[in-house]
Amino acid sequence: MSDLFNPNFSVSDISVHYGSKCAVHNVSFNIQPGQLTAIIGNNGCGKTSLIRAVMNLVKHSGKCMLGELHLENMSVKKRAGMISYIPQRTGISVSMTVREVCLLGFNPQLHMLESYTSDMRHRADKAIDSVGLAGLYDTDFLTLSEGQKQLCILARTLIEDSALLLLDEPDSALDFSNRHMLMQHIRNIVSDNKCALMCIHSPELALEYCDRILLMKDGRIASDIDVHTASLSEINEKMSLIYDNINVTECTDSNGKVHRIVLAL
Amino acid sequence: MFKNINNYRNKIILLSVMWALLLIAVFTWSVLTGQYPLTLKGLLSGDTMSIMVFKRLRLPRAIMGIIGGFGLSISGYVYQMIFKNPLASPDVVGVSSGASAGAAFAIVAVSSLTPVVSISAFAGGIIALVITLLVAYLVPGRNSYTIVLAGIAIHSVAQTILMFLKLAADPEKQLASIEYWIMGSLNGVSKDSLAIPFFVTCAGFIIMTLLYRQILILSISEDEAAALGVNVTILRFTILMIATLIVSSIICVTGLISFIGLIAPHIARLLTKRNDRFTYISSGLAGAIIMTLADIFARSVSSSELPVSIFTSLLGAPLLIILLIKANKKEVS
Repeated sequence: MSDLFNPNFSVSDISVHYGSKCAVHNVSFNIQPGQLTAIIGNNGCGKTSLIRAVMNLVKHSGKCMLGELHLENMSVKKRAGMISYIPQRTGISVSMTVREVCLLGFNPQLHMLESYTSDMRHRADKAIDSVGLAGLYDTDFLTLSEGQKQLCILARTLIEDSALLLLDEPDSALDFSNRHMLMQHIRNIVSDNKCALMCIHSPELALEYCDRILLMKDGRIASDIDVHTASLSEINEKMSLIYDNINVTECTDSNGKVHRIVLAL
Repeated sequence: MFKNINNYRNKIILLSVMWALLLIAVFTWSVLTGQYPLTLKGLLSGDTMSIMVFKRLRLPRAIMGIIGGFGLSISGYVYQMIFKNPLASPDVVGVSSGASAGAAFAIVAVSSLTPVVSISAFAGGIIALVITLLVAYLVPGRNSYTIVLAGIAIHSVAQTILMFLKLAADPEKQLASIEYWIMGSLNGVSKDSLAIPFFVTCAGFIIMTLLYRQILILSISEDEAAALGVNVTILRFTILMIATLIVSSIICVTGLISFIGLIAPHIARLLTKRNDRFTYISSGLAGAIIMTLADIFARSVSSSELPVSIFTSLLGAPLLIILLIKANKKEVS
């Protein structure tokens, strides 16, 4: 469980090399608590490598700090208690119930040989309810739709209650409605004491749900958009650094809410 | 079978009772089967010959059937989980072929005496695993597929060594001994040879049961497992080592027993539809029952004893096919 008072997340001079190829080049940024930050960019720009470097899954130079804590120096288990990860598509390939999948979120809190308590089971069921999968506790995870699977992984993330959320294109396997439902849930769980960093392909979803957008190109941060304060022309100008033929414009829905939409030219 | 049982706990109770009854039945049948006619009446009346046959031959053999089937199956289950591959078995990491080469080496170069062959087979299995893991460790970006590929390479090397040893073997005696060892048999199991597989399997089973949550996490992708706080490389090595120790301790006494480690986990999964601790234990019990039955048939269908592996395949394959058809029918309906 998150016990950090000020989980300010900062990345300093992160570089990732695969042999002679530089996937991430001296990337630095800072994420405030409560901020949902998107990284967007074309395929191969280094988004996933950056996420993997933060998780310490690839060799890298530079450092990642969560509050006062140096993530690279932590044990795997302690780091797992600080970071939750949602992949593009979960690697669960054997039959497990939805409850069992969620309960795995307690692993960083448990000793290797310790068992789940009844309170943990109760909390797992509550997390399942909160993402809209109530009643599916004993359902085989593999029989769920892709959207339901991602919601189940989101429920596991709720259980982990970590200070930092890392999401690697969590919407990529989802249809239109599931994509928006998942993004709304993600938006809701990024509270005042959490930071979130999400790789995403859709600039439209990033503009709709995130607070800040990092635009990545050739392993570097090409620019940075504060979604709440940036003007339309500023967004268009910065987006054009990574996408050649798009135009961001505004439209108003039937409730009078203004949305930014992205048109391919 | 479980149409009217929605509650998983009821299913567990029903399956537990079924396993217990089947185990008692096959164990009793195994003890009473053999060339010397053994009866419960003879044993209870204190007949010296009956008691000697029971203590020295039948009981160790029946226990070895249970322990061997159980150990091979729980190890197969763990291999399948860790390699995320339903076809994984001890051959994946080269253990079986390493043990075969070890046994053949002892037969050709040292002695055909059972303890010598057992120790050499055990050493062969462990050496194959250690080399496999070492090769996999040296490959950059290692993952479970790297271990599988390294295992295939070591398996091929061990098979080549085995071929050389067969060529060098005396065709009259040594070659037959090698072939007989490779085909597997519980013939000649004694109280003394039972000790190592018994303790290694029991200890390995307890440790893997306690580590079951970690095994489950290792069946997920490596990135997710690391994000859930599991040190994938160390834990995978430890669990593979334990599973392999179990397999080596059994096959060094019985010779190669094929198919059980592959088939029993699937039978258990088809019955429970899950991958929980109960399914893991059930796969061990299914393996114990199949192995004991195979051993009963191996010594009773013909005047001379036949290899156990023939019957493990003959019994296990139809059972798996029936369960698969049943499961598919249920899914379609």
